[in-house]
Amino acid sequence: MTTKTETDLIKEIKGGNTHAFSELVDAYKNLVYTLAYRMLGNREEAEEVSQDTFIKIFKSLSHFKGDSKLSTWIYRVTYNTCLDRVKQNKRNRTFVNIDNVDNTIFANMNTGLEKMLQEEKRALIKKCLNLLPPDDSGILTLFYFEEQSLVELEKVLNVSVSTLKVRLFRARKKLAKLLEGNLEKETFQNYG
Amino acid sequence: MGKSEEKELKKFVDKIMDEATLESPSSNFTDNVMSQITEPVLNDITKYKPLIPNSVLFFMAVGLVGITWYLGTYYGVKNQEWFGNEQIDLFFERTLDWPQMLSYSKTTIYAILLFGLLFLIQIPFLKRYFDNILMLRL
Repeated sequence: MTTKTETDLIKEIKGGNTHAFSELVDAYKNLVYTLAYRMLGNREEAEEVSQDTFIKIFKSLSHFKGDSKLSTWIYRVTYNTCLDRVKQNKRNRTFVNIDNVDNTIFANMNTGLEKMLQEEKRALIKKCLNLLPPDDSGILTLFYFEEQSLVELEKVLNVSVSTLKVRLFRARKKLAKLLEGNLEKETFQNYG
Repeated sequence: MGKSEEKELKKFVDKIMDEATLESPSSNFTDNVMSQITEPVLNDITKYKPLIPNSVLFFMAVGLVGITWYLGTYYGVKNQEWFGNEQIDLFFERTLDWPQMLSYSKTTIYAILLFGLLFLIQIPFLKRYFDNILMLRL
C-alpha cells in the first residue's frame, strides 16, 4: 500500500502540480537509474531509459490505483522498460555457466574480498553485476531494493514465488561464478 | 547443491549486494525529465488546427456533388444547356486574351524578372527570421 505522503504526492501530481512530480523523480531517480544501469550495463543507455521510465510514469499515473506500493509500481515500469530496450538491442551479455559452482569457493572468495580495498571491492561487484545477463541482474537488484520481500517482487515481475525462488537461486549462482572468475583475474594481476 | 550450500550462497550474495552501492544519474537528470514533461503542453498551443473542420468539409463536398448531380440530371450536361447562351465563350476569350493585347518594353520585362528574382532570394532569409522570432516566443 502507498504511504500517506506518497498518496498526497500522487494527488498533487494528478491535480497538475508538476513540481510535485520533480519531488518524485528526485526520490526515485537513483533507484531507477541503478536498476537500469545494472540491467543494461551502459551509463548513457541507462540514463535514457530512466528518463523514458519517468515520462511513462507521469503519463500513466492516473492508472495507478494504489493497491501496491508506489515503489513497487515504479520498479515494474522500470524493469519492463529495460526489458524492452534489451529486446531492441538483441545484445547478449556474458553467458555464465553455473554447473560447477560449489560452496568451497565462498570461503576463498570471502578471504579474497576481505583483502581488497573498499573501493576496489565495490568496483569489482559493480563490474560483475553489469556482466550478469539483464534478467538476473534485474531480479537480484529488485530483490534487495524490495528489502528481500518475495511478495513485493512477485508484484513487480508478475511471476509466482516458486519461480522467483528458482530464478533468484540461478542469479546468485551466476553472480558467484562471475565474482570467482574476476577475483582470480584481479589476484593474478596484483600478485602475478 | 544441498540446503546448507544454498544458504551459504544466499549469505554470500547478501553480503555482496550489501556492499553494492547505488548509482546516480547525471546532475541535470530531474531537469531533463521535467523539460520533457512540460514540452507537450507548449506544443499543444502551436498544434495545427484547420479553420474548417473535416466534418464541414465533408458535408460541403457531398453538397457540391449533390447539386452538380441534380443540375446535371435537370439541365443535362452540355455546356450550352448549363449557361443558356454563348456569352460565356466571349467572356473567357476576353479574360484569357488580355495579355496578348498589351505590349511591354524590354526594360519593363527585365525589371519584373529582376524583382521576382530578388524576391525569391529573400524568402529563405525571411523564413529564418520569422522562425527565430516564433521560437523565442515559445
